[in-house]
Amino acid sequence: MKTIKILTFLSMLTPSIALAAGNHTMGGCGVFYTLFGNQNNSKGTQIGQILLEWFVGTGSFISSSMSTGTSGCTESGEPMWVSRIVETFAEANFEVLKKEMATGEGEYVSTFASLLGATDENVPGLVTLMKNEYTVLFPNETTTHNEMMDHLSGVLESHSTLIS
Amino acid sequence: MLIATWVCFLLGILLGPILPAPLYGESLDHKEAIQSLLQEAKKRKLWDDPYWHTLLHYRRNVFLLKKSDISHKEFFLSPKGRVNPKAELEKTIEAFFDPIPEVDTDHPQCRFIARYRWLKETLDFPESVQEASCKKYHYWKDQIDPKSLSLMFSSYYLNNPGSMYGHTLIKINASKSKSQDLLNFTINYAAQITLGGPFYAFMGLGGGYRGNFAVVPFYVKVQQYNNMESRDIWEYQLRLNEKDVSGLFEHLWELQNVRKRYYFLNKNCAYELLPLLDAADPKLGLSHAFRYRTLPVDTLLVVEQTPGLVTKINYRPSHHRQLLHIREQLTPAERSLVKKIALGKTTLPTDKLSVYPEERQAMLLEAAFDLLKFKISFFRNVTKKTKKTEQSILTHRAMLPTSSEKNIVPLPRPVPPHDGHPSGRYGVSLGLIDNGDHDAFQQLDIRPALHDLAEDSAGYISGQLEMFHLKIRHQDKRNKFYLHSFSIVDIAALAPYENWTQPISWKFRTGLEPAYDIRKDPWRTNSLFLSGGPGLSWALTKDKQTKFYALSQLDTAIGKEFDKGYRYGIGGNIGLAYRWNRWVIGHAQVSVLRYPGGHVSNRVREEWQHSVPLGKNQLLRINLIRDNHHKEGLISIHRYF
Repeated sequence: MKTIKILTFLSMLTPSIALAAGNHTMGGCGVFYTLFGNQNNSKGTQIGQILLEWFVGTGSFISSSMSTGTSGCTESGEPMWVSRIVETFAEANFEVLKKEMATGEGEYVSTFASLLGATDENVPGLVTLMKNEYTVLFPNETTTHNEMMDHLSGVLESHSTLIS
Repeated sequence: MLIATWVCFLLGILLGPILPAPLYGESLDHKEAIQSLLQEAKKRKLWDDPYWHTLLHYRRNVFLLKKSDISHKEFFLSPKGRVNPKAELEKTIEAFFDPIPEVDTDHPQCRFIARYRWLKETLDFPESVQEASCKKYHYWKDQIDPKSLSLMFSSYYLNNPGSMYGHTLIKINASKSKSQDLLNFTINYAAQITLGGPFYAFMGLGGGYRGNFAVVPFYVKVQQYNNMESRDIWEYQLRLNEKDVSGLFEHLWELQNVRKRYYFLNKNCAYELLPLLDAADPKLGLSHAFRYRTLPVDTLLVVEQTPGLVTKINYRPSHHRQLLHIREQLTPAERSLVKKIALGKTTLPTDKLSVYPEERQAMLLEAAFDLLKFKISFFRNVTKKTKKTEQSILTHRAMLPTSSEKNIVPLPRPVPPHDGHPSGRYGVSLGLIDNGDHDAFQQLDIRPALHDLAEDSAGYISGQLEMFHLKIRHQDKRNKFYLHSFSIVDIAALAPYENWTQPISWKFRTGLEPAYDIRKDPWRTNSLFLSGGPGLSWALTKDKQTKFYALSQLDTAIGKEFDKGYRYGIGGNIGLAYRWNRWVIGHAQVSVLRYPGGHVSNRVREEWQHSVPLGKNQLLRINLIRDNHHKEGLISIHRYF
């Protein structure tokens, strides 16, 4: 009976102390899996894994080798989080980006336009273009961020002055 | 022979300066340089310098001995480095003169780049010392481009146990325009949860987890806090110059592979940012303000109260707050329409939308998208139907003009967290018990964290979160000191109901308290209890500061004074938390419980607490309780710390 009482007490303690933990879960891990996981394409997952390794402290802040194609580096030695910054941003912020591209304004779409190479003067023009071409960029409900980027490349071919 | 010797001697004098020194001469120079630096360091007792202690994370332990918080062996060059600042300093100086390989990442000058920079500035390093290029560090720094820093605070969110106390992190602001704030990086410290479940509490309190730093893009954190967890983000821009920022960055590089013991209560996500800020500006001394208890809001308070350190405060409202703000601007018919669109129960009702001006339609469609996202918590693995609804909403939105009416009424900025009352509180009370026999009592109580329903909620959560609230009493007639109660946790999440997000309110509490309904002395009836239940609450005022709630309640307890040693029961709990102005703040509640198991009984408990703040750091409170036959009243003075 005494054992039951002790165990009962301990089990009562556990959730309450757990509630005292605050924001102690692994910084970024959970959200990384949410933002970069559950994708249907391997490229998205790969970026997610790379970022997990680079940013979330499971490895060092930067790859131990900058000259190999492994551990998150391109063959030129540049880390993927640098060379794929546009793609990474689009993947992580896809939901909000979709909305702001439809709206034609917002912090995320403006940042995205800057990443694509638009100067400060051209950002509004590029954002408006994306709004006007929304159905081309997102032809259906299953359009992924990679597909959106491919469609956008096509649209930008005839509007190259908007990006440097 | 003599002439040859003189010739060699003269040639050596003339040619020596331009010829490369032989190897034995180099090591001799290095040895001399090292000795010279060590002597200089000894003369100045550099190992006692506060900045050296900041970089090595030395603190005095309970035995007043200097010991580094870091137990990671690779962080120290001397085997005794963790407990001997002098040995570590000497070994560090020596190690800087190690031969530099082609790939110099692991050379001490690069691994401990902050130490090298500081020692080079402080001591008279010879010009001939060979310097490592530290390409990897410089590349990383160039990419992140640190120019200034901000301390960020993501607010409390009671509906997520991991978010209840808030969180702090540092944002590294690059030299980009404001429109690219999302592309900045953040420094976050968190624990790696290796063993969870029933071990979580013990591992966390006892340092069983390891914590480490991570450098994460700011946009990831905005997604996490603002959108997925519905938390506001506050930014406190810091007045630190580029040299200071560089100092922090160098020290962060030194910590990249370090795993420290993570303690929930003090050496946690909030505390570990402070040595980084101290490394930026040693005059700050922020980490010394905390030892046994570190709450994120307290670290924020210390930073905000440091003269001249905070230059500006910015605010990013949570997705949830923005959503409800828009809802308040809509008519009941519009709210109903938005909900129908978001839930996708029918195809997009373009006929119902078209009666509105285009800017209004735009606002309604955006609200519908935001509501849909809130309902699915920004989760991506959703049904095809949900995806179709999103596509339909956004496609129609794209056909409308850019401008919408959503920004007509600006979202009011709440009281910032640093303006709330301090987190800890202690108090002295005088009271009277009436359970057939009158008895006066005195009470001391201490509550390390955080906030209850009868306190001013400005800057705080909309609810209650108390931890480890201890009360000790002395009753005059019985001349008895006793532990009255110890509440381990007492939470009330009262999110006012509305039909968009349909929040559930709930309470949960556990600890030790007297079972007043058993007619015995309270020190004899102390029982371990677990109580709580879900329900709903409603805001009665526009500012939502006055709320009425109705919750179900499950109540269990074990104690030797119960028949069979335990009881369990079910009932209801209704209450009113009010704040009409800064003088009229309080909380009244009634619980009605039936215990059919163990100690069979019925119980009715009524309680009223009324508070009058006396400045920011003191509180006057009146408390009246009736629990079956037991009645008591007390008046208290509380002081915050």
